[in-house]
Amino acid sequence: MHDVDKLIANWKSSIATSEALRNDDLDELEEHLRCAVERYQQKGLSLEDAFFLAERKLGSPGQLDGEFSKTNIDYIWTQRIAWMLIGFVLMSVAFRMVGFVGRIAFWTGMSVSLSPALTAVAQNAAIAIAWSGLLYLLIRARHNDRGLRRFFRQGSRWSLTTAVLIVAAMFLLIEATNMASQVVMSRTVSVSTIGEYALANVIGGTVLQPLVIIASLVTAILLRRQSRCETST
Amino acid sequence: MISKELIGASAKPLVLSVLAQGEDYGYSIIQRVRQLSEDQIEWTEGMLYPVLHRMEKEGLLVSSWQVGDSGRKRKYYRLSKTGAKSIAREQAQWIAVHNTLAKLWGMKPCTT
Repeated sequence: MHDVDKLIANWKSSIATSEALRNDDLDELEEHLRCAVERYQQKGLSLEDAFFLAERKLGSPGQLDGEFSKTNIDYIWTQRIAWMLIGFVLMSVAFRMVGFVGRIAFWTGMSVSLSPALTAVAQNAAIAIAWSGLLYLLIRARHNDRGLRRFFRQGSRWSLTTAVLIVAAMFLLIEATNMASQVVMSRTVSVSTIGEYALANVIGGTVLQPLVIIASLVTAILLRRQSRCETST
Repeated sequence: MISKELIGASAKPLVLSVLAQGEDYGYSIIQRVRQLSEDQIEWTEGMLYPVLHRMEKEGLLVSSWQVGDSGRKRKYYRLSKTGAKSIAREQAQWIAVHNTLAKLWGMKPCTT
């Protein structure tokens, strides 16, 4: 790669955290930098000095972000809404998948005639493993995928907030449906069986779901911090 | 050096007037203004682009990507019909301010 291309690539990654700059804007600013560097080099500056001066005159990433934010406010919000929708869809899919795993564990437990309490423990363990697996896959994929890297730089705040809100809402909703289903079940299955299963399940669920919320938040914060460090180096 | 506020306020008439002489791209607009002002008007260069984009949204400018003399892609701006018409209005305003100050300072007012 040409030296100036390397410097431009560094500059681009330093500004990539901005949500306000469209690709078109980045291209335009890049062309500006190249023109300025050429001019300073013609005046006798070394490439490094020319680039340093050109970059300083262009304005800091913070200044550019602030100024472009004013003009591109509709673009910023379109993106944020898109990220929120992505968060919603991903979280819904994740919930379905994890729920499915939990149900498999439940039916397996029932079919091998585990005690109701053990079935509930197995179900919650399966759910915990499924959530951890999904988080692990997300973290692994982040390093290889450009789209995901962009997501963690720009979109994670919006999509993860939405996702966490959904988890919180589902938490309340699931508690309500759990109770309702137990009332229905109590008409067909003996109360002691339900009681044992329900107790273990409610304890498991109550512990697990806030943990998922906390784990998602911690992961999001850690990953964001990490991606910031990567950009600033 | 001219203050930040005045630089901000004068950006629009300056861009309109530079582009009245023909289409141009960001870096070149900045250089021309710098030279004409004898280094008095020094923009934080990146700030010009949001101004250009706002003026395009307002319908004063039209932009297009073209391959420039460097062989690279460049975004060129030119005046729209509305933009060309708005120059007279800008001119009247700036001359009014200039004349008021000139009279107060006992200088010869601008006639055009």
